[in-house]
Parts: sequence; C-alpha cells; structure tokens
Amino acid sequence: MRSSKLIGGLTAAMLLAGVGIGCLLDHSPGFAQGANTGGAPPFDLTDSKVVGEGAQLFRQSCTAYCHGKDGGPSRAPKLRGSKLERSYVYARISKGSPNGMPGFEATMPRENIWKLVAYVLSLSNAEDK
Amino acid sequence: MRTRTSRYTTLTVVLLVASALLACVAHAQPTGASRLTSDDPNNWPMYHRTYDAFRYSPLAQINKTNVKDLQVAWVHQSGVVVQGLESTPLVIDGVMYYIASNNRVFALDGATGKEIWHYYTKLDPVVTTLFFQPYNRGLAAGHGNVYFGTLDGRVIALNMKTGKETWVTTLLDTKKCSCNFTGAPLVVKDKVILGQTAGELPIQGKIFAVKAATGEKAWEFNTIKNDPKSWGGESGKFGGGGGWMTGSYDPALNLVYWGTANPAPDYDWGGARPGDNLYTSSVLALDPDTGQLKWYYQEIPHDDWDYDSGLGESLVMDRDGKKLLVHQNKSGFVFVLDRTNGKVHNVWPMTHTYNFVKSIDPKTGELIGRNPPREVGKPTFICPWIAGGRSWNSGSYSPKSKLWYNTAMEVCEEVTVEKQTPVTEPAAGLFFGGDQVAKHPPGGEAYGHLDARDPVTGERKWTIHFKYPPIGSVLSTAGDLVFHGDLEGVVRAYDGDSGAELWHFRTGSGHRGGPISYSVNGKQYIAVPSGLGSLVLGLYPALWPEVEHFPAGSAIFVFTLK
Repeated sequence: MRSSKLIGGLTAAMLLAGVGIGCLLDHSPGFAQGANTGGAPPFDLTDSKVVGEGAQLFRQSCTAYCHGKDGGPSRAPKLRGSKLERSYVYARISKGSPNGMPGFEATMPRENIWKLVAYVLSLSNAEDK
Repeated sequence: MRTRTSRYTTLTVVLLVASALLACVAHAQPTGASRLTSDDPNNWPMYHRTYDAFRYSPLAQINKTNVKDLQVAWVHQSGVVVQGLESTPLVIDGVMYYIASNNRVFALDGATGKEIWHYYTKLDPVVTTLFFQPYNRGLAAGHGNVYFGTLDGRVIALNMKTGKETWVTTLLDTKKCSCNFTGAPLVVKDKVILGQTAGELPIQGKIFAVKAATGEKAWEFNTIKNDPKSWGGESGKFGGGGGWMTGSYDPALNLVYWGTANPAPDYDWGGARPGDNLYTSSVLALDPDTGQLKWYYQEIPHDDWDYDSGLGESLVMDRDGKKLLVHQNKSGFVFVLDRTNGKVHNVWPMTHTYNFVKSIDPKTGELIGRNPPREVGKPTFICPWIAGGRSWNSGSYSPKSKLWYNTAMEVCEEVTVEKQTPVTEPAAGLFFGGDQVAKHPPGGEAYGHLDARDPVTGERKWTIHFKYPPIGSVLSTAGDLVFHGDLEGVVRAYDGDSGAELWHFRTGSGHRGGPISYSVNGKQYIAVPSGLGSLVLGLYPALWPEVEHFPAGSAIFVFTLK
C-alpha cells in the first residue's frame, strides 16, 4: 500500500514536472476538458478580415515574450502547422494553462477571443516553415 | 472517507515532524534591521547580500586552490518548475530561506537542506490571467520575519522561526490593474520597500513602503509624474513605469536608490505619449522614511525601446573621494552617477552591439543620434533586443579585486510598431504598441559574455564567450572566485583575476537565479539556484530553435568542500 502510494506520488510529481516549461507547451486536447470551449463562433473563422483582426490582437497580446512572431518558434509552442482543434484553442486562450500561459477571458471580450482563435487556426492550418 | 483519514494521518505526521524540526532550529535568532548592516560574513541576509548591491561574499575557505574539490552537499526541489527558479536565496544564522514559483517559500537547514517549514501561498485565481507570473525573484528579512510581494498584489510577512503569517497587506487591485509583485523587497530600518510591475500595462506603477512590524502602508511613490509637459494629453494615465526589481541603500546618506521601469506603451508610434515621460526609465533617490524624492536621473528620456532602469542593480561605491552609484540600464549602458545628487560621472557600454543611439555622451548622459522605431507596420532593425544588453540578473562586485563581474547580450531585433488603444476595463490589458523578433547582429552571430570590468571606467580585464546569452546572476567571493551558471545548466567557478575556469558542475537545467555563499558551523557553502524559465526565454528560439526544448527545473544545489 505504501509503495503504491509512493509510486502514485512519484508518478504525479513526474507528470507535474513534465508539463512545465515556457508560457504554453501542452498541446493535449485533454487539458481543455470541462473548460469553456466557446460554443458556436459568432462569425466565419476563415473570413480574412476576422483573421486579420485576430493577427493584430495576437501581435498586441501574444508575441512579446511568449509565442513566436507569425506563430514561429518560441518557448511557447510553435503554432504554425500545429493542427489544433477549434474548441481547444478557444479554451486555452480564455482559460490559459498551468504552464504559465495567462487566460484572457478577464481582459478580452469574447468576440476578440474568437478573432484570436481565427488567427491561431489560420497559423495552425498553415504549412510549417 | 479513506482519503480524508489518510490526509489527517499525513497532516499529523507533517505537524509532528515540523514541531521536531522547529525545536532543532530554536537557536535561529530574529533578524533586526541593525543586523542587516552588521555584515556577518556567514550570512546572506538580503537580495544582493548587502545594501551596496555588491553580491560579494567575504568568505574565503573555498578558494582558487581547493575549488576543484567542490561537491554536492544537498539539493532541494521546490516542486514547481513553471518559469524555472528565478530567485536568490537568503541565509541567516544557518537557515536558508528561498521563494519559488507560485510564491512557494521554504526554510531549510543550511547545512543539510532538511526542510524546517514551508509556506505555499494561497493565490487568487486572477494570477492565471496575468502576464507577470508565476515567478518571484526573492525574499527580504528583518524584525524576525521574512517578507515577499505576491503574484496577486499583497505583501506577506512570515515568522522566520515558524513560517506562520505575521501579517498580510493588500497593496494592489490585481483584478483591475493586472499588476503584481515579482521582485524581492528591501528592508530599511522599520520599513519594507518594494515596487510593482507596470511597464507593459496601461496603469501608473508605484513603489511602496509598509511598516515592517504591522504591514501598515507607510508611503507610496508614483513613478508617473503628474506633469502635462512630461506626459502629453492623457498619456500619463496609462504610463506604466513601476519598479519591479530591488533597490539599494546608503545608510550614511539615508537614501534608497530604486530603478524604474519603461513607459507604456513600450513603443511609441508617434504621439502616443508626448514628453520625456518622467519618472520612467530613471534612477530615483528616495528618503526611506517618507518616500520623498531627493533626486532622480532619467537614463532614457522618452524611452522608445523598452530599455528600462528597473532591472539593473545600483552599486553603492566610493572612488577617489567621490560617492558614486553604478547602475546598469537595460540598453546595455552603465550609468555612473554622483549618488549625492544624481549628476553624471561617466557612461559606458557593456555591449558593443547597439544602434538605438549612435552614442551616449559620457559627460552629460545625453542620448546622441536616437534611432526610435516609429514607422507603423514597417520593421525597424534595433540593437540591443528587448531583452536588453543585459537582463534583470545581477553582476557581482568584488571590493578585493576592484572588478565588477557582469553579463551582457549582443543581440538585435526587428521591431514593428503598431497603434494600440489602451484597455483598462474590466481589467488592464497588455500595452506594448508593437512586437518584435530577435535577429543576429550585422555581420555576425548573436552571443553573450561574462566580463570582469572596472565598474567606473568600464575597462575590461577578461571576458568569457557564451553561445546563448546568459541570464543568471553572478557571485564573487573573497576566495578570489566568480560563480556563474549558464543557459545550458552548467555552473562554473572562475579565477576572479584571470577568468580561467577552475570548476564546473552540470545541474541539468539552465540558470536564471542568483548564486550565493554562506557558512554554517565554520563550513563554507555555495548555493546555486537551477531551473530554466523566464519571459525573455521566449525570445531565444527565433535565433536558437533548440532553446525551446531546454528543460525547465527548480532546485537549489548546494556545494561544499569534500
């Protein structure tokens, strides 16, 4: 019993240790379970105007020290070519992650979060450079 | 039910163990303010060890001859590796105190590493919405307490012996300002002084003092001057600033020296914040008793590059009968001031890679040939990068060798300025006014270095080259040694006179915190925080993609002689 607890604790510690570097590293969709996934988007996420406005928000809030410019490499995951799911991206932007990525739902209107989702998905679906 | 019972059992065991350990450390004496000026060589009682910010240990048991025999005495893991381990430990009367991410505070037996107590701060969930988190750079001690600023805008005093709260004071409305405390406070007499984050936020950053005994706010200093000539229009309402790192103190002059952060937005597209934007990117001399401004020197008037003054230590030193203050600015330039009045004595560059100005007049401090990125939507090539010619890690000055051991980064960037409207409702949003990507300098590869220099003239005696610009603080000792850890997780001891490497150890994760030295029962120790993490690391992979995969960590490695 004691050894199973020990192994359990050790496993948990290793899992905790494994998650944390940089602003955002975990791409596991499982993390978003139970989080707000945004429901239906209020506009077409492939609309170039929406994507452009999302890009501007991304430059203002996401690329200073965390994500790479245009979704390029950083300590946070490279978004370009990352093939992310819409609900996961919304949940991650609104709630953040335990790896240090801040959640934006307190500082950003829902519509703007969706614009960011549109831009991140455009990077995610783009060819990796 | 089984789980609850198990928890109670565990709690009981923890309490029993804690009680036993507390009995073992009953010899630990409260640290009064007078002890902070006594310079007991065995202790490291404040962030920079002494009020002059030298980060120098007078211990010499470990020296050039025997440093090769250093071995690990013990290791302590904080348990949270997010953003690594950025802090500098304290040691007082054989007990080590340190703070890790998520405001975890530990008291450890300095000889064995055995935990005496820990305090895991219960943080407001708002912390997960902040840009500046979950790291912390250090504690302060005095009056029987250890003090720290929290990620959710409070100051907490813990009893040094028990780890129990003495008092808790809320200074910031973090839910509204998105600001907090990440730097180590400074205890001066009966006050605890600390500054807030604000430089990238549309708010007004302040420096605070609270009473050490009660936590009652004593004074606050607004780093945004209420002056329409300095802040055109309403720009001052969103001016940023603040003082997020730790100042120094001259007891003889009774002046605290505190660097202030950059104005917001970081980049000005032209007309964003007309004026010189006082008191941002400045060094302040404050009366610690009242918070009254005695003098200021603005190193970067109307800062166009995020070259803040908040990050650099202020060395308090005398030379040829002159009372000097040597301050590292983020631009890479070092400003040597008369610390009685703030007049410029000299200005010299730690780096050779800069184009934000053609030069800075060493006699007047004037920025000559400014090169501000102003054209909206068009990239402008700027050196140094936003991480600076040096980051917030500290150098170390040895009064024995008369050398300042300090790091530097030779890296550039492309800045693209973009107009931005400040967001303050329902909470402050980031206010950069542009973005950037790291670039190699013209004609060569970006790199970093550790130098030994004269702090007043800048004359260089030796230099060590690093592929990855280092961001760890430096320790020098009376054993003529210099300790410094690199980005790849190797801590080294150098000959302070020649720069020759004498010893190294791979800790397994990069270095961002501050190594220290202390002594317990006549035995000298070197303590090295290891754990890679930092906001600035996000800038590295654009030039060095492999840095994305450098492992995080959060541990204190303590070394001693065999």
